[in-house]
Amino acid sequence: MSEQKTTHFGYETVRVEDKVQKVGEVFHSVASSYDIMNDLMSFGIHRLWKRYTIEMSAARAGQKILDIAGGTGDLTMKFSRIVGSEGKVVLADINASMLSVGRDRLLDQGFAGNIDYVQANAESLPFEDNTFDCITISFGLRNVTNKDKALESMYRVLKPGGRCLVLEFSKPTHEILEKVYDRYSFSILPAMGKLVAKDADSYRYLAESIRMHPDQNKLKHMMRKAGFDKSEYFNLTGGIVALHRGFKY
Amino acid sequence: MSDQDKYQDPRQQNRSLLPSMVTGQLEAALNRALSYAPATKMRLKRLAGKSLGLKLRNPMVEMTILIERKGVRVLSHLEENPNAVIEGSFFTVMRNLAKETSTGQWLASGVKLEGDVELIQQLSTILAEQDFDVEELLSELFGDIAAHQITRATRGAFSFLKKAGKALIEESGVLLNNSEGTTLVEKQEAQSLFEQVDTLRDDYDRLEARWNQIEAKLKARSESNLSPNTPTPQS
Repeated sequence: MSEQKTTHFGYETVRVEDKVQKVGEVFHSVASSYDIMNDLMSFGIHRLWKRYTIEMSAARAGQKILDIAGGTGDLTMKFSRIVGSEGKVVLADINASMLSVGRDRLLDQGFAGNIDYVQANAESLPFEDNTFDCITISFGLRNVTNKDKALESMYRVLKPGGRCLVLEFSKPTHEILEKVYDRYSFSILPAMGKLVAKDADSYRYLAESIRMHPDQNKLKHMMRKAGFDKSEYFNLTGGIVALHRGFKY
Repeated sequence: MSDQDKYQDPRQQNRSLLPSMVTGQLEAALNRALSYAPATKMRLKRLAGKSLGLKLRNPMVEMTILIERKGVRVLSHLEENPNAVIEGSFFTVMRNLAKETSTGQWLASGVKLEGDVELIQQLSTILAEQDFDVEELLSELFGDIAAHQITRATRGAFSFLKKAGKALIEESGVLLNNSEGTTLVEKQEAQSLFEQVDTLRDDYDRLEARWNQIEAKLKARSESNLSPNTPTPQS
């Protein structure tokens, strides 16, 4: 009998080929209430994490930016304004429901003309080599089945001189904060998910997937292994979230 | 060993989100105000691509304002050097920005200028000519942030100073001129008064720091008195 490759889906061990489908189901389920849940879960702080990411992107008018797992388009919206009509932002997401919610939201708010929407898997990005000045993946990498492959793919499509930013939940740097955060993640978060998004399981997966995600130094090493230069990270809100940055020289 | 091989201590990599919060609020407020001042916006557009660094004291805030074709961006972090930098007390910088101030007046007010001084001059002219109330806007924004930085016990006193400073700015027009246009208070006198308010704020900050130091010492002393090694009276 041949040995089947497995990976994790939260705390559950699943076959590699099943993870994409399972993650897809989670995001199909939460897409319509994704924004309101983000605000509730993070007490609105996710806006500041994203703002910090924008500042660290050093984005300028005329640049080409790829927003992977861009979901409902928070970063794309800001990048669209910065790059202007001479630039381009590509909002990519593997999940059609999230992409659809994001596109509708951006169009409704008048963002058009310099944004492309692409349904794509981060592990095999459908772009030519050296295409983008900046690539961001915000709260998306932990849902990717093969993170190494995704980072390599991002490195390939990044222009020399460009930078990749990974904004993701990480490991709190203080024990007390970690305990409080654990309690919040496994007790309050699923209850909130049940109440607002009518889906406790998806939010339980969110908490589990955060714990299974590589910590700050591990992810920094993974970025280096994928080819990124000067990879480093910055902890936000005591390490609950970390922004990793790597360059391509 | 390359830099990349070095293990980073996670605790050393913590970053505060407060600067991003301040710049976010300010950026939104400035762009909102600009949307009601199309003439100012048009004049600023000519300076698109230029950046102005602000290093302010009382409250201590550092930021860079990037001028773009459609408005401004305010950043707490900028990798390259801005075209010009203004360094000085918040109160004085805002007052100078809100009126047409010559380079000599900037320097005489104790503010340090670096880089493209002409850019600062142009900005000051644009903001003064178009009646764009940047002073009011920024005072309100940074007043709130400053209030978060001080202890609850001293908040009332700081608020009083803030209000006093703000009232001085608002009433400076009344102080300087009466309805017939004759000068009641010389400009130098008003200037001296503004500087005294700045000095008072500095003194207050020092007093607050000293107070915190004494409080910490008293706390440490009382904790050491309560430690298990301290002999207690026998019942």
